[in-house]
Amino acid sequence: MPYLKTTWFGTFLYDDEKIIDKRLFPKEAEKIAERLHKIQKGEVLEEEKEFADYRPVVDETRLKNLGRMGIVKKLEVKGEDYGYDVSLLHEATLLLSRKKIGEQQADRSKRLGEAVEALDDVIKIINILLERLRGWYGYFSFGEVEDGKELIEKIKHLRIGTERVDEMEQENMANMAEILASLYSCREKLEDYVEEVVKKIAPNVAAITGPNIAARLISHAGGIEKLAMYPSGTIQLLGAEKALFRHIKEGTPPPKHGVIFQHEMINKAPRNKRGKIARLMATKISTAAKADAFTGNFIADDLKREMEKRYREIMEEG
Amino acid sequence: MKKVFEGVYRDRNRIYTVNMVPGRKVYNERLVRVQGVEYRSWNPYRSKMAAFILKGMKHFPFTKETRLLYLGVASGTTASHFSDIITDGIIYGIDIAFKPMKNFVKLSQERKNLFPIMANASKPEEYGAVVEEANLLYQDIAQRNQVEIFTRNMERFDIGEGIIMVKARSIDISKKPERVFREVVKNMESEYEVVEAIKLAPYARDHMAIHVRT
Ligand SMILES: C[S@@+](CC[C@H](N)C(=O)[O-])C[C@H]1O[C@@H](n2cnc3c(N)ncnc32)[C@H](O)[C@@H]1O
Repeated sequence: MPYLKTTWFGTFLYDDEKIIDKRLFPKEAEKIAERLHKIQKGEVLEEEKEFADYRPVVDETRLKNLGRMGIVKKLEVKGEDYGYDVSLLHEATLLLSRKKIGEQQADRSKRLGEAVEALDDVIKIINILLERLRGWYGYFSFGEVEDGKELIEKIKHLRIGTERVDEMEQENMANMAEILASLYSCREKLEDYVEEVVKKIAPNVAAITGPNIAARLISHAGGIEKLAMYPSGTIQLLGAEKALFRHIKEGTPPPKHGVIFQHEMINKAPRNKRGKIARLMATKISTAAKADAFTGNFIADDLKREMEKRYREIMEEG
Repeated sequence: MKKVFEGVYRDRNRIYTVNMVPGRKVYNERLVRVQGVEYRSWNPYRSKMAAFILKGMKHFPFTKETRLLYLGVASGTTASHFSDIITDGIIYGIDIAFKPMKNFVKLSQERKNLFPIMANASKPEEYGAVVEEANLLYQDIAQRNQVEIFTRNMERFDIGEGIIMVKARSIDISKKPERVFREVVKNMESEYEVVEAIKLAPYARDHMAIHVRT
């Protein structure tokens, strides 16, 4: 039974005496990097599949269905023997590492996006429960309790007997209040987490937009490096992909802003000024993102000052 | 400058390697010029290998042609000095974390003997195809199963010689470092010939360098 082994430049089928057959990879760093990536992900290469009929002996679990697992004799071949200069492997490892770093970064920023969206979910749930409990508690007291945490305390201290509440009713209200309390702490922890991560990877953008919007921008872009490479027009519309798509397909009015609309500088401004302010903010975010991704300098104080100055001018215009 | 080992020089209490990329610093180390040659100072507080040398290492396994498999290469502080030494060889640098890797990739762009591989050292199958041939293993990974990772890679790539930097606290925080060292050395002796085992204090606390051969 022959052995099968894949090196960085090709797949070899051999026995104890000689090389029986081989499939050499294209002499291009990119093509080699592609194959090395597949191997790392546990996939079987096309070149390897071509030798499946031999049911070769293999020593990697990713190849176990191709032949059978066993001890593989050491393969004594070198890339140079087949005209593969080692600089080709050098280039391929650079390409592959860069690709993997990019993937990890995109992955991280997507996870950051999950956290921001979880925060949205928690806020929504809090509001639903809060409204319910307010109404329910309203039967036992006059006047609204504004603050959620205060309401929780009041419900926990509802006295059975003195306040017409019966035992099971009080227990259920208290349970709900308990859940609400833990949602509050969940919200705080999520906010802390998002803020910490964002301030670490993008202190400048975070200072311009606040951590929440910064996190959404980074997650939509797929990383701070990507965000830094977008033109400001794209940054302005990040998160408005659906509206943009509808505009192209159905001719609805084009969107003027994406997630940055959540910033009160924009959403509290009069309608006719929002586009201008959104453009202003996107320009500053773009500069901030470049500093975060490439130089690491903190320049947000200046950027913010410039942005606020221009903002006031826009607001004062007729 | 006095030559102490292949590619390693000493001047008073500092050691140096010859800068492969003159004018460039890697981790803010000192550069000095002596008779037209630029040397980079090798900081024992930043690199355990420098600590090993300064603490009296006797058998230096590196040559100009070494083919080194380096597990836990991080951003390349130590690897940059190996790169200076192994001028005609290869250094396969493995690390699992993308942040230090970013730096190491940059370093590898200007040093043709550095080959960056982002992978988990406990899964040699995943990068086996990249490592064409290696004759020396160097490992600096602060993990509980660091010894197992070491032996697995020695076997997989059929390597006859290796150096492992053992961090006592990451193997077992509840035991005294002395005891962990004794156990690890014993463990190593059952598999290999132990050439040297030297503690790295005061440069790196609770660390020991172990050099083995098959
Ligand atoms: C102490 S640092 C190495 C410093 C480096 N050797 C130097 O002197 O410049 C340890 C490195 O091991 C890496 N590491 C930890 N577990 C690993 C694993 N299973 N596979 C690969 N790298 C790992 C970490 O990401 C970290 O960069």
